[in-house]
Amino acid sequence: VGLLTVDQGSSVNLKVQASSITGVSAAAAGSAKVEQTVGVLSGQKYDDVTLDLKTGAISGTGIGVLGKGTSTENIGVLAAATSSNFYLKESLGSVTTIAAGINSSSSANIGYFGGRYADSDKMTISAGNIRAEAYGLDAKADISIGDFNDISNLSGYIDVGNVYARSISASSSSPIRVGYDLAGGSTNLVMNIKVGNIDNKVDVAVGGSSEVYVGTILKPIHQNSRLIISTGDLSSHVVAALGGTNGILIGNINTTAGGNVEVHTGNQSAEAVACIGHVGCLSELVGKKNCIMIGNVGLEADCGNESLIGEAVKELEHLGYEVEQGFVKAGKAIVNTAKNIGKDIKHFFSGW
Amino acid sequence: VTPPEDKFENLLRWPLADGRWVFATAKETRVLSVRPGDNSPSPAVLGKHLPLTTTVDQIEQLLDGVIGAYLPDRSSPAPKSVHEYLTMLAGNYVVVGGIEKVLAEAIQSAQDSSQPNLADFLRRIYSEEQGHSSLIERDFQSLNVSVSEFSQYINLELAHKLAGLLLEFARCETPQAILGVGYLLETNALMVDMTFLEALERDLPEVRDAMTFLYTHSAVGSEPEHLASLLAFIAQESKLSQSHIIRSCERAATLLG
Repeated sequence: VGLLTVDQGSSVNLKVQASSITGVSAAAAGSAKVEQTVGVLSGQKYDDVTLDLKTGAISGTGIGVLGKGTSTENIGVLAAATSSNFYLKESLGSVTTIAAGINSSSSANIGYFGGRYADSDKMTISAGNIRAEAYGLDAKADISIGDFNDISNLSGYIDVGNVYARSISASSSSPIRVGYDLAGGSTNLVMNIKVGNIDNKVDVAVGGSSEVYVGTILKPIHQNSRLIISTGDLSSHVVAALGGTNGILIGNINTTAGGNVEVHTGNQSAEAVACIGHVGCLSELVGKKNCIMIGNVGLEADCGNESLIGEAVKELEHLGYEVEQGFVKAGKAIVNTAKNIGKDIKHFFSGW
Repeated sequence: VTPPEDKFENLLRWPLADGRWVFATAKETRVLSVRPGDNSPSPAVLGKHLPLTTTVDQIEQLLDGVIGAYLPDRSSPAPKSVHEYLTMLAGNYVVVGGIEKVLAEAIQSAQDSSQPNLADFLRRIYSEEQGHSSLIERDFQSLNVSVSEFSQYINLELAHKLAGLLLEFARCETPQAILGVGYLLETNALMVDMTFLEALERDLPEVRDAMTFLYTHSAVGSEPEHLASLLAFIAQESKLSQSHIIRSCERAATLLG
């Protein structure tokens, strides 16, 4: 529906209205696949393009019993090699993807900006509740809303309802991304994101993962960006997830150029539990990669080693020591983001 | 359960001269003041610890922690007057002008102490740094000022102390100590980035043609590459050698702090 591919286009105005969009792929044996594409612009070069998309509820289900079911929804995609002045307007109902069964997958990609040299773009996306559920070995249910890739000067406004992610069984995954930078680079980004309650759960998932990213730039960027995010309550519950990365990451920018992040959230709870017999408490084994990580500038995705020093401090305190923290540096140094007026030249020795 | 002593194997711990501690991992460093309570035992985590093998990231974080303990904010605004700019260059001239002598002596000390790898590495630095003081002389000439005359009228005590420290380390039995000072200077140079240089050009357009030294010794010049090779070398040194380097880095940071 509403698919446009040309070499060069300018002043394009594509308007798509659809009621509910449903894709179901079920395979009892062998494999089955369903793919739905709504409101897609692709090609070499576009200028001054508006894509206005209104839909009802969107749902995709991939079910496999002995075979593999695959369901893919691509909705509101702007991908041209070179582009400027894109405006993506989307108003959607609830979005649900469910993958059940071995190797089954269900994927919804909504509101994507991509292509090299994309410049001066704007996205306004509103959606209802979002739900991704993966059940079964290697099942994957993912939802991405407002992904962007290799662009600069993007203004984004995203407003979605409650987010619900479930990944249950080995190697299953249910990642949800809202306003996510795929490639890094020199993005100059201003993003306003509003999300309802976020509920993330991983259960009995060896190598499974359930990640919720909101307004997160994990690949390094080289320009200042601004993120303003508000969410409802956050809950991340990871049970017996050996390996994989699980958790909720909100408003994190990996940059050396400085960034501005404002995050408002409701109540937060993060839990990594399950003690297995005499092996040890699983939260200790896997806990470092399961976290809620909010409002960091200049940090990488892995919450990992960050806590090793924290753990040492806790042990020292447990032993009765008083520990006071001074200088802290996490990740690479952020150079020249804050400049105090210096009165002497002592910092001016430059090289040798 | 992982034994506690193994759990902290990758946690580098360095005791600072003033009693504080630097704890570092490959991704983070923190400076801590640790005071024992009435009944505190002496846990293993409080001992100085460098792993048998260290990665570049680990050693970088530890050195940054040591420097950060004394110099928590190393960013500086670009000079606001030509006089301030020339003062900055003159300070660097004292250090850079003496570096060939420092390296020559350090190479000799490395050979005398049977450290051929160190001697080779220092020779490489020597060839890279050779003649760099002439860049500062050229910058001064562009502004029709003599570096030696200008230097007579300003206080360069700190620069001379730093140059003296380098020479002291170069002449000792552990000349790798100069690399700790080198790391501090190289990372200082990274503070001079494109934002800094653009601010300098904007605020002081008259020095635009007199910035060859800064364009060379900065984040936009050769420093990132020099720093990477310096860290790679330090990371593969022995624990003992690394200790000399970290200690000298701390002394230099104390001097500038």
